[in-house]
Amino acid sequence: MNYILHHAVYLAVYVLLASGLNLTVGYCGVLTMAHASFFGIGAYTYAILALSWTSELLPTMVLAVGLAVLTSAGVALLAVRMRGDFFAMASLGFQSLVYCLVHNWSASDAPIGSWRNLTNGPFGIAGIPRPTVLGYRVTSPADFALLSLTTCVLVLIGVRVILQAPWAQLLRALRDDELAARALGIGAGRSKAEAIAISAALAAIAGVLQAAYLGFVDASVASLDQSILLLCMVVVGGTGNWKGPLIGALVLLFIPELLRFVELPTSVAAELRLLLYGLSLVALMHRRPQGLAGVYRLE
Amino acid sequence: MYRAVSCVTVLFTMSALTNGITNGAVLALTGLAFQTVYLPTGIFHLGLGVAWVVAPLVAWCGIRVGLPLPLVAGLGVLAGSIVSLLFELVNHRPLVAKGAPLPVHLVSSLGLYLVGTQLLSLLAGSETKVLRPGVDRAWHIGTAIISRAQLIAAASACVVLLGFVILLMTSGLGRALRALADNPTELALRGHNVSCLRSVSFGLSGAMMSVAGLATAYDVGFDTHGGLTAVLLAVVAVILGGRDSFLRTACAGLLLAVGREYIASIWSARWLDAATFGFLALVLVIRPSGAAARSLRRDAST
Repeated sequence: MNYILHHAVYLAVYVLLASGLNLTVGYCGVLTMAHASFFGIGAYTYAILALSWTSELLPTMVLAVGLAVLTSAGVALLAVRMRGDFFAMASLGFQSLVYCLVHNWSASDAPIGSWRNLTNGPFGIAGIPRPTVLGYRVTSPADFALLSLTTCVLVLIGVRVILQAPWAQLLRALRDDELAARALGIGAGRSKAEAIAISAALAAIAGVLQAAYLGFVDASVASLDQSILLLCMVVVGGTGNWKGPLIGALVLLFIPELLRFVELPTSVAAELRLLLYGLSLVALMHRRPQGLAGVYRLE
Repeated sequence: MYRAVSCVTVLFTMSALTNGITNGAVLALTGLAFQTVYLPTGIFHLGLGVAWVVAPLVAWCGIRVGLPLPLVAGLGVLAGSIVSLLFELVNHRPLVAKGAPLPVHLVSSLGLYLVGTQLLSLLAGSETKVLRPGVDRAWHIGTAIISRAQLIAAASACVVLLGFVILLMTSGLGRALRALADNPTELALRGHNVSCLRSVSFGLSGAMMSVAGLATAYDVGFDTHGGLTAVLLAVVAVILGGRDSFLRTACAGLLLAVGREYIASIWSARWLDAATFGFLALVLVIRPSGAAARSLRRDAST
């Protein structure tokens, strides 16, 4: 039972992440590879706040979202200034910058979470307190699964409402023909910045949930591998609608579980997993560029 | 006090300059390898990261079976070149035939990089490997120290760079490659085989990346996951040098490496990537066409 609950938590986290990325890639047409940096910011914000201030979920989540939205201004600035694969590369640079900061912001003689040792570098932050929701401490796997799935469903309902609003039509117009949209008076920069900010907020919420659940966070949450995994989820599942990220997250979380039953050594299974992700990217780009359940082809 | 500070500055400067120039030659070659595909085709050839790894890996296997270093280095370069060419034949050319947009090439190239790297990791392990055993010989040049491996790496990179520049400037193939970069449609209309030229650019790019990978591996060792970092630095060199020139990319690579060495000497090596990518972001925000790019008349479609 714990096995299923564990995967329910992970599914909720990755559906949130993939849905956020879908907003920028599928609705905005902005191919970003910096999504894991916002995931990392959310996870580290919860970890530091829970250790030094409070483990109450709502205020920490609000602060994590605020910080991620502020940081997303950097990516938004790049998105306004450039397009296409050059933006993708620039976002990869942004991702590397955040990872480098997270991986190196440490000093052995300073307490964890202090200005000099903010992230504890490559050792990560362990012993993160369990979260409390309105005074109720969440400890058991069932509680965590309930919390994660509820958060995920609530956030996805919110995203669905946003995507049915005129603002989403505006994003699609920008995605399909930016020049024409701008000629009609649509503010491209502002709309892209808003979409990236919402996407960053979803990633930060996912980061908070993961850090609270695992009780440990290290630099790998904000790594390039993580960004590639998220991009794979969106590309495999499909972009431009709400179903794609859900299917992408399900498929890509299912692959490692399949390998678990083959009883391969852990290191081989990890390499094989990435190999399968790579193969799926190549195969889909050739056979079905809009993904398994998507409606938008990368342009 | 002032003299002491000046002496320390000169010491750091000499050392950083020497290391910067030796690493810069390799980084210039890496940037040029990336630009050789990007300029004529517009493709972000991330699969080059596999060529960066496969060349030293072939050399490492050859050394283990007792083959001489020059032979295994040649085999490594050949292998890297073939890998890059294969990526064009099995991935990019079919996508071009389908009229796929450039981001599709980027994502599939990323997929190929993952497949290639993980295959190599499964076959040879992902731990760090070295091409030369023991402690290397070193010389003092003023206040700086330079090792034999660094000299070999820089010399081989310089020779290949020079060879490519001569090829580009004096031969018919070089002229065709430059024409492909400027206007592929007109080149096709004039009867040139554009597909063949694209294949040549992919093969040359793989060969140059392999030499850069070998040079770095001979100096500091290599692992199967280092390719993407090398390609990212090459992208930085391309962006800093401007997207429209082979030679400015090479110069930008050289200057980038010198700058990185200065940062490492006056600050800390662990912040190198943060400083590099922070600088890149700054350049892109201020001047998206690249720091040294020519100012071009804006096209109606952009």
